[in-house]
Amino acid sequence: MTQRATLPMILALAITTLGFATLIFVQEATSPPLIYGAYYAGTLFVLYLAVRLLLPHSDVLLLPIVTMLTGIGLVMIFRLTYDVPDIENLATTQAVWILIGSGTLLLTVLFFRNYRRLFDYKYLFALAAVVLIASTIFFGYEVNGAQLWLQVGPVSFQPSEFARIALIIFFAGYLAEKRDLLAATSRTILGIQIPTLKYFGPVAFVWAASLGLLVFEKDLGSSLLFFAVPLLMLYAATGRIAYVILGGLLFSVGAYVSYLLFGHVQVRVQTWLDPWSDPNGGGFQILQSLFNIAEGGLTGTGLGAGFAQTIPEVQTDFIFSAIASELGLLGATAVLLAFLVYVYRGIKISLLATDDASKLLAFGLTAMFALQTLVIVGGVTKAIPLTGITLPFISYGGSSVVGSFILTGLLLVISEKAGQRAAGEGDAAQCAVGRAVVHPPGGQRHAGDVGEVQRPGVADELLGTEHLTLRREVPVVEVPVAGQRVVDPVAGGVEEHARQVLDGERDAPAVLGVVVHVHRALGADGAGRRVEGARVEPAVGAAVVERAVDHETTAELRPVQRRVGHAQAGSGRAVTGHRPPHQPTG
Amino acid sequence: MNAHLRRTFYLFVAGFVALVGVMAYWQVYARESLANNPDNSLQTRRSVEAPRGLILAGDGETVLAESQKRETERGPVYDRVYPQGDLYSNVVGYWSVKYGATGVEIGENSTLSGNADPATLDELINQVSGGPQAGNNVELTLDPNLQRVAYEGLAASNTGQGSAVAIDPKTGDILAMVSYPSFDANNIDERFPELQQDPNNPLLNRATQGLYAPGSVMKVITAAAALKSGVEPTDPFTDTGEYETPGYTVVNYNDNIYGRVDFKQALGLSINTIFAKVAVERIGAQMLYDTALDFGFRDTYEEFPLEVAASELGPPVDTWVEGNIAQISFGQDTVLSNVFEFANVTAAIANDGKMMEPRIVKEIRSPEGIILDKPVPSARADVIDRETALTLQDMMVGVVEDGSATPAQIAGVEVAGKTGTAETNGDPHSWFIAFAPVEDPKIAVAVLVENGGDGEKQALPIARQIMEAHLKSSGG
Repeated sequence: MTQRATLPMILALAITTLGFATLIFVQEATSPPLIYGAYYAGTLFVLYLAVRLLLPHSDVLLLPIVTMLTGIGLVMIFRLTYDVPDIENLATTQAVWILIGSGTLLLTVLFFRNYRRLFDYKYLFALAAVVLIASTIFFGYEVNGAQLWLQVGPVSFQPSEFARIALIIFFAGYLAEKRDLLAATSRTILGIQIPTLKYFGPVAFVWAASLGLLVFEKDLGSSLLFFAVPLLMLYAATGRIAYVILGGLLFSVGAYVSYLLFGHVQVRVQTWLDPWSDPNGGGFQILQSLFNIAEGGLTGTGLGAGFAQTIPEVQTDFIFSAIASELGLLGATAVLLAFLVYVYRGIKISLLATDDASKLLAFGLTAMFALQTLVIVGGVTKAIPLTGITLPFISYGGSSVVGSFILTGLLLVISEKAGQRAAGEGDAAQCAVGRAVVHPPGGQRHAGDVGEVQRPGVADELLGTEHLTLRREVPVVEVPVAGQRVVDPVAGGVEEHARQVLDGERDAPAVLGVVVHVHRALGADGAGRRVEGARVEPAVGAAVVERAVDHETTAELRPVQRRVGHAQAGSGRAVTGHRPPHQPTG
Repeated sequence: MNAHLRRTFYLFVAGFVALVGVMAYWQVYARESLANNPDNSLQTRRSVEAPRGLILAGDGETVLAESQKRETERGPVYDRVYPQGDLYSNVVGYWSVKYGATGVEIGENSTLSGNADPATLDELINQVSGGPQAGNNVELTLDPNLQRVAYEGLAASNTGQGSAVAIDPKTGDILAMVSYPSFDANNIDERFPELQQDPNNPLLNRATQGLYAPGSVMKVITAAAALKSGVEPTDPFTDTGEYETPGYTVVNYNDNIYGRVDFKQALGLSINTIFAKVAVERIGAQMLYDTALDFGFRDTYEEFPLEVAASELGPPVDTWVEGNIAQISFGQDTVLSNVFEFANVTAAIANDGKMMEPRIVKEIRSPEGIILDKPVPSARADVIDRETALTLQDMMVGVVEDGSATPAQIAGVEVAGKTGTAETNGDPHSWFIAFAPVEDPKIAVAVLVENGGDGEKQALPIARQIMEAHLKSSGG
């Protein structure tokens, strides 16, 4: 995962410089305060160096993409507003927002390096999301027909941008914990496995939240994101397409009812279906967008030579139309590709993450980023109804920029963990990675006591963080019922053995006498339900240190571990690696 | 879990690919139609920054529209001016920053604005670099002399509302196209609201977009259908002044009774009862309908740069009763058409049944004068076979020689024609269609004076003047 991206950084900054140079010299635009340009370039480069220093294993390639996108945004905002009275300083303001965003990213990296602590407060994040959304209903004010804005002192911001991130943190933590429960199905309807209803709580929660946004704040875009991202996370966590289908149905019903009840929703849909019926009224904005996009053709009108200013709100929601108009199909595709590369890196970080919660967090953030891009670009090209959300990093808007920087910061810290692990695992002496699952030595077995210790990595220790969790497994002789795991801080005993094994203080096979392999087995519980959880194979008197957590990950992403002689992915068979003489169960 | 993550990623990739597809649709496939959409004011804004091409008359010299440079604080801008005033406005159209564009200005917009597919290396370089591109020049087929004759003729007509089209039957070139009253397209931005309110509707190009009852000029189409159905010009008929159909009785114009005549004379004297009888008893609804469609009814002439209102026959053919067929045969009831359509009908008959694709753009030149495109005449359809066409020509010669249109005779030239006096709620529309010379047709015309009264009184003299002017200059 370790990346060096100095050259891409320089390229990204060069693209921005070229854009401004074109505007100033070719199009003879009045020069912006260039000192802000220097601040911008300097800040992002320093940010890049700082991240490389602080998170040496992280996927720092995200930063050149962020630099390029914010740079293109700055160029376009400047180009669209420099000669428009009252908003001629918008590019400068945006540059300041980018500086603030960079600072926020740095703070995120500094304080949430051990981001897994965030999951301990997941319900607090859920509450924060609700409070943020609700705050605009009661204290917000309306801009362009949507009540999204909140005024705090001199700064007004859109709380929903931050509520989205809080919600994703909550969901990642919640789903990682309740994965097995949510995946367990009790019945099938029409061949689709229907999960137990009582675990639908979070689905109902986001449904209500997104509809609340739609109804009270007239914010179609946020409403869609609030709903779709958790749904995708639910799918990723459980693999149950039923959630997606049911969720989609719920959303359709909600959307249809609000279409019938609310004028502004009807107007949006009408405008989408037939903008031509009212080309100078309701259809004006989207038609101007299409005219400008078409004007661009394959190669564009040239930077500064288009007429995108005819689109109302072009510097926020419609900035992509301006890009398509002036840079053409080629330029617009290049920008879309940059977004796609970001999404690709995000998904890759998610794939490489060491635990479920991290995976889900990285995935949720990436999914939000991807959907936001797809929804707004789809909207301005009339592929789907228009919803007022921003194009990440490019659109003018402080909350959007800062939110996207926080998102990037979180992805960076997650990738750092995975990077550390990948770096640590090459060395057998540093096998303090992964999880040890042990029984007490000497054949003494307390029903229900299976110790499990997770150690994220050696590097964590170097950085002074201790991260040990214990999972208490169910009685070994019985088939476990999913959901009986508890997460405790380590307290000695069985767990202490595990820790010592992990720390290399003991020779695992000699000291720890029990082999227990637990994981991701598909068994059946007493009620005949499929359980994706723990199958425990008791073997008294032997122990093995299991060095990988996730078989899927092991098999596909870290070949270095294969030589340990691991079980097949997901098969749940006992580890056969460093197995000492096997003693039959008492 | 990783498999799920991956699957979702593919979903996102599909989304991005779809977006590129949508972009390609708007920026490549639908580009021209959006650029030329009347609601799109970007083109007119563009024209302010770069000169649009010239629009020239058929002589290659008379400038109909040009862009004039004006220096401003923010660099040069170009104003569109129309040196010929009202004369060509309904064809050339206007080009307004506020109100969009019409006529050739929008129909040939891609050429005039210089953003059509690049034809020269310079254009390609300019297009790629995004520099302002001078538009290409469009030379029209219009003959300035004929245009003026037609315009003055219509201006002098009794009602002062009408339209005229003249075509070269062999090439389909539009030699003149006038709609009266017209307007001055200069300073259109200021004058548009007033013009739009004008009850005389000067902004409407009556020649292509008006729709009127054609009256008896429709009988040439009915006659063609009759000849195809086996009726001979010599077939005898007896006119009693009335023809009964269930629910509708056909009478002749001015309640004339003609007695014993043959079919050729029936066309010459424009006898409604005989055409009704022939249509109902010999032709039938389907044949009449098909023939009218062959002649271009219900067609919007998509290839033609100006917007054309399709000529109408009314309700679907299978709902026609005898009363409908009878009235349609002499251009009343639900039939609606315009001089553009009937000029094409006349030209097709003149050109021995072969209808040429009507065209108004003669050639396209780069600002440096290099010819970029010079469309060759193309046949649109074989409407009727040559024998039928020759017979019909002969019948139309009869109309001029000893029928209702004797004032259309031109000394030394054989003229074929047909009058039309279409009943309306007010005074009847005065129609005349004609072509000449019959043996080697050089011009076909259709003239309509709205509510002008008898066809031979108002429309005919104008058509005659146009033909004379053309024959004098081309045959001279």
